[in-house]
Amino acid sequence: MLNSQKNNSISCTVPKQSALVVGNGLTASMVVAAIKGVGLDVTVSKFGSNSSMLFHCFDNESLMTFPDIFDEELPTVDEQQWEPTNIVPREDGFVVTFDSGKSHKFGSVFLAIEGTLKPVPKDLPADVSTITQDTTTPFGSSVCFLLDYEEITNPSIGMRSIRMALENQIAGGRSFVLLRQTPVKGLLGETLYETARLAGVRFLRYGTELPRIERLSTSVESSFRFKVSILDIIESGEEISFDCDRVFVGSNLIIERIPDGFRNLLSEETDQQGFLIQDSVHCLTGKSFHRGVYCVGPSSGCVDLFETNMAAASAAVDAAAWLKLANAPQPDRKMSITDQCIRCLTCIRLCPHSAITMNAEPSRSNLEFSTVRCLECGICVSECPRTALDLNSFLEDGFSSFIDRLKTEISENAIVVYGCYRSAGRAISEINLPENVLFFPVSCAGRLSESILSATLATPVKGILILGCHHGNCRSNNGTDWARLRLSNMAKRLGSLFGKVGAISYKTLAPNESSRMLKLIIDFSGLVREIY
Amino acid sequence: MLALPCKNKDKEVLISGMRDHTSGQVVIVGGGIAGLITARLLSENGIPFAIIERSARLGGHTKDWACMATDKCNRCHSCAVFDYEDLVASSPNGEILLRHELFSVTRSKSGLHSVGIRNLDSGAERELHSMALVLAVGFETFDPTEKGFWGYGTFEGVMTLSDLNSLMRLDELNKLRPDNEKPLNLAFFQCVGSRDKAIGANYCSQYCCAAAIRAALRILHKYPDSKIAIFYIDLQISGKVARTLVDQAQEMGVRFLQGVPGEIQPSEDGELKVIVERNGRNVVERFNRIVLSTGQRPSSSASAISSMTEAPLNEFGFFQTRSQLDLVRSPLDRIYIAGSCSGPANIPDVAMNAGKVVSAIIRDLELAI
Amino acid sequence: MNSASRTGLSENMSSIENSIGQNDVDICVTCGQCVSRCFLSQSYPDINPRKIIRKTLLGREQEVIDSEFIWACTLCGRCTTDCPKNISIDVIIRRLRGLAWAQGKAPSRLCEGIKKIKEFGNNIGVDAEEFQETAEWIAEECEEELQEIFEEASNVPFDREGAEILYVPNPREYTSNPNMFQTYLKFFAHVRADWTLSTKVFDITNWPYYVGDQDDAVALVRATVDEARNLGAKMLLTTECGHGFKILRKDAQAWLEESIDIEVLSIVELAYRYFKSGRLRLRKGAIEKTVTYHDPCNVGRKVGIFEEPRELLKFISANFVEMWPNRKYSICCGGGGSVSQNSDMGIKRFEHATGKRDQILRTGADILATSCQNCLTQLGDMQSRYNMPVEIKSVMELIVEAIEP
Repeated sequence: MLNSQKNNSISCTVPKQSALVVGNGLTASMVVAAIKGVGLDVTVSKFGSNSSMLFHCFDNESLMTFPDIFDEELPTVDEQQWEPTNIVPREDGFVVTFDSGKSHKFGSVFLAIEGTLKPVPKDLPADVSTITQDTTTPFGSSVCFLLDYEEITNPSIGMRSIRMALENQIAGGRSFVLLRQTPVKGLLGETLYETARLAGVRFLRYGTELPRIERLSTSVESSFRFKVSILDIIESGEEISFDCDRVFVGSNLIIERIPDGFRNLLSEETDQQGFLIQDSVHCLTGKSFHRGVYCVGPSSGCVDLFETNMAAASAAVDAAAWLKLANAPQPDRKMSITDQCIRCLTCIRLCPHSAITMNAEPSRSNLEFSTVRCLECGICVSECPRTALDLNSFLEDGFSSFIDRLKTEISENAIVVYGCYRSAGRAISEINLPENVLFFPVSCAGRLSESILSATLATPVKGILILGCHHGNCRSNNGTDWARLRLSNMAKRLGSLFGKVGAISYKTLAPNESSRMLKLIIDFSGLVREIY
Repeated sequence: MLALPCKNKDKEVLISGMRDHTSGQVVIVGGGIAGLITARLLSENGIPFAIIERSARLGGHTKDWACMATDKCNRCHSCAVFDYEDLVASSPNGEILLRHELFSVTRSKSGLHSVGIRNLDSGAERELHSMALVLAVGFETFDPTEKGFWGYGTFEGVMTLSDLNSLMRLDELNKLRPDNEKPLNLAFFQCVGSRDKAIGANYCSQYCCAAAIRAALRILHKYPDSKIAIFYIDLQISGKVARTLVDQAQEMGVRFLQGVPGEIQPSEDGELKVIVERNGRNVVERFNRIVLSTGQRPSSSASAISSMTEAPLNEFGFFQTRSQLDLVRSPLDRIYIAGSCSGPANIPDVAMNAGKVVSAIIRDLELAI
Repeated sequence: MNSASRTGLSENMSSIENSIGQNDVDICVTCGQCVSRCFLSQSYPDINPRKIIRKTLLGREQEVIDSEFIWACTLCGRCTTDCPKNISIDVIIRRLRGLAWAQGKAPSRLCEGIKKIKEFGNNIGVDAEEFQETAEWIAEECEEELQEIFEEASNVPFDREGAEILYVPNPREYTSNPNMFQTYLKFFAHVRADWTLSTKVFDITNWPYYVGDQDDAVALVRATVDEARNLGAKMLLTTECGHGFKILRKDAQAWLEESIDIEVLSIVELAYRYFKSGRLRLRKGAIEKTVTYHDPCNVGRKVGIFEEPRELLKFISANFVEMWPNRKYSICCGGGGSVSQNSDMGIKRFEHATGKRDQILRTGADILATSCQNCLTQLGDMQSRYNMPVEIKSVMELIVEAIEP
């Protein structure tokens, strides 16, 4: 459908409501179903493995009744496995360039790749296998499932193991589950666990000492391949050992490669384990910090079929809402730019919401500001080296008059508290401020440029307390970190210039920390009094 | 005052092309986080909603929860409720009816519900036309006085996770150390009122393991000299946070001990004493504080709402869903179950679940744009 | 070789599982609550209820069968009170004892008692004639007192057909502790009870129950119920006895696999019933000393009789105090479940009961009342061993003391 397009040109055949789904397995399939369910068109880029990394503890037959999955072939962009190499946000969608060199426009983009499981730990015999959703056991034999071996096994994988152990036991075999902390979950989990115990599945619990799995020398009369030895922490008398035909080990997920287009766009948004993090406000619903960009399933660290299905539904519902918003008549512009701009592109680089793009079409390039994407955090304004940007937010209007007021109308020992509207701005409603404290809500702690802070310090104000959101909980990902950085820069310089080093402080806060906020303010007041 | 006026309430614009069988609102029973997320997603998709909430404020349990950040956010997600509350309160196509309760639900032939609601203060009654009913009545925390062996209410040092949370919310963790010289020696008992067949709660409450670990981290952040032990049956933390949280706690010196002590006794020195099995031997451990990680029980209003709506409850008293695989639809058409009233859940679970509810409503009622 | 035997989790595991009731052990989720609640956990640091279940599950039941622990256990059931999976450890221990019994490993004193039961129908080897003579002699000893209560001289009734109540005593009443028998005679006289003794069934205890000898245990219950039916009694009244009462009240129907149309009541419950109806008149505050109450495991925790004795004691005593923990959380006296009858346990039954001792001492009470003859023996022995400044009395003794003249 699209391959007739020229390289590097933007396809106009794809409607604005179209979503691009990148992935090749069950996750992508569920995302496609969810997107169709909310009435959007969908295009799939078959990237990555098609083997599902999603786990559940149901049999395939009953899974057929799982609602809202379309059992149909995935529509594809091309027979080839195209990788999105570049994703450029536009006002009403994204221009996605593939490794084929072709570019197409989409309303929203979904990363729905599968990932792989970590290999069997090296100290285990080579023919131990990892537990997968499709693992089948030779029924009627003796099977061992080894969980929590190197790291905590994900409960979804644990539940699957217990299910397999149960089936093997019912079929006349012997099943052993070795674990540190039985991973079961949900209303169903306890029932499954209990059913397995009552069916005779043996759960053995080890502590710091790992179970030993030895390969038995193959002999004609024995079909057993492994000898398993474990010190049960509850009955820690002698070691318990038994022979098994097969040993499975619970592994965990890894994402080997995130397509370049997504990696570049979401560069700073991965956790310690390499999974994509999601906007904490919209926890685990697939939303990234960039509206219209979603990560569902394994790429965000989720291996549970039901959770992924729900995240897919949430993301699709959000995408529909986003497209509705993006295609609606836009309200007033949130940003304005002066001719001081030298197109250094700092703002494009720093914007956490992909709200600023460069339009290269006209002969003289222009910055474009997306009103729908912009959350008015003001990080770009604060960092613009030419102070060429302005925020038209309602909070902005008061800034200069506030600073003017500080110059004249303030009490002795006045202290200014600048707080993010999202945390301090809400927490303040539950506390009574001391008289000498003036609170000014800002759109984000990252909005507090050095010039604002300097201007404030130039007034008779005795101290400034900046209250940002906790690291990792900033609506703009790193606004709060910007505030901290600027403060430490200023403190170095202020030490010599004004002698007010201790009179400026940065703390982090959440909206449900009113009591702590009051204490922080009182402590800061005390500190300021000590300095003067 | 209690019905918040809605901005730009103009249904014509918002639900253009809506068919007869989709006239009315989506009526959401319960203004906790599940109700709020559902409302927000409905609203953003142009579907009108009304939230019926008994209390005088939105946010439910989540709004009482404390921030669990240490030097960074630990992703407890409790502050998300503030964002959702703002988003919902500024929705142009919704109604928020605080201090209101449901008193009747009648189903018409077309499958639509006529929902009678009452203002708890004035007694004034009103009728809402519901194209879909979302039950989001939440949960109740288990009362550990039922389990006398733990001496909750008898021993001063024994508290629940909710009690500890209230101290954190008020930034009064110092109250845990009345004698400030003495380091805190605190234990968490997991599965209090959960995984307990004897009291009809044979299920994992989903949130408590992570909540206890986060609380432990928060305490250690404030008082690094604290000694903390977590007694568990199984650590059941789903998702990718599990490893990070457990690793972090272990690095901070939190001891994870299998086996929950069944009885707390006062020790000779005025502390709390428990007998536990450690390395195969029964030994005595002493603590000055013990926190009972109380689980989730069905909401007290679930049975009344169940009889009003005919939406059935399951064996535990939570709302039954259509099947084990369909976690959001009630067995009855146009009735959906959101959040922890269909079974225990943590905030991320609720968020995902609410998304699924809205997606099911859009699909079932053909509301796609 | 089949897989079960090759696993090391031996196939004789299945034998124990079958005899023990597989679900009891399989369902254990190893939560560990029982470890803290067992009063033996510190005396036997290498074993605890959870480990017993675990060993059984892992095919190491023989270690448990051979252990002293199963005989030190008083079957008090405290460890599995509130068990999240509704396991009853006393059932499991009794089955393990049954296996030990079958292997000839039961304590000799219990074996002797059971031998006597099989021969005489009671654990001390008294025949019907001797019982009748002794009972009559004990009654004569207190004839004057009885006449004060009830002017018409009355003989102790034996095998009286049509009597409303068949009273089954504990052998202690006609051997080591005749005062108790007199107490009950006075009570019966005062309330003008329509009662009788039986010369066939005069031992409420059930020692086969202790050793897990289920067949003989059931036979004793059968004999008791049949005798009550033969005499046409409407009520089977047990003395202040723990497990004997509990078996008749709680287990009998299931064991006999039939419904028993005769009411099973303990004498304390009967006293409470008559007190409420006005038939038993008591002097309020008659006991001036401070009184506390020990909940016998079988009467309290296992049958649920908590409030009746308390209400009576609170009425007749000027000052009633509770010990903590109490009611269903009560700590065992340490002598139940055959421990105080088992000479092999020696003085260990006192060493294991220090928790109970301290709990009693903390109350500061002058009188410790209870309503189980096993508890009375154990607590009485503890009192003298530890020189506890407290009198040990049965609830019925105090009631009889407080009867309005």
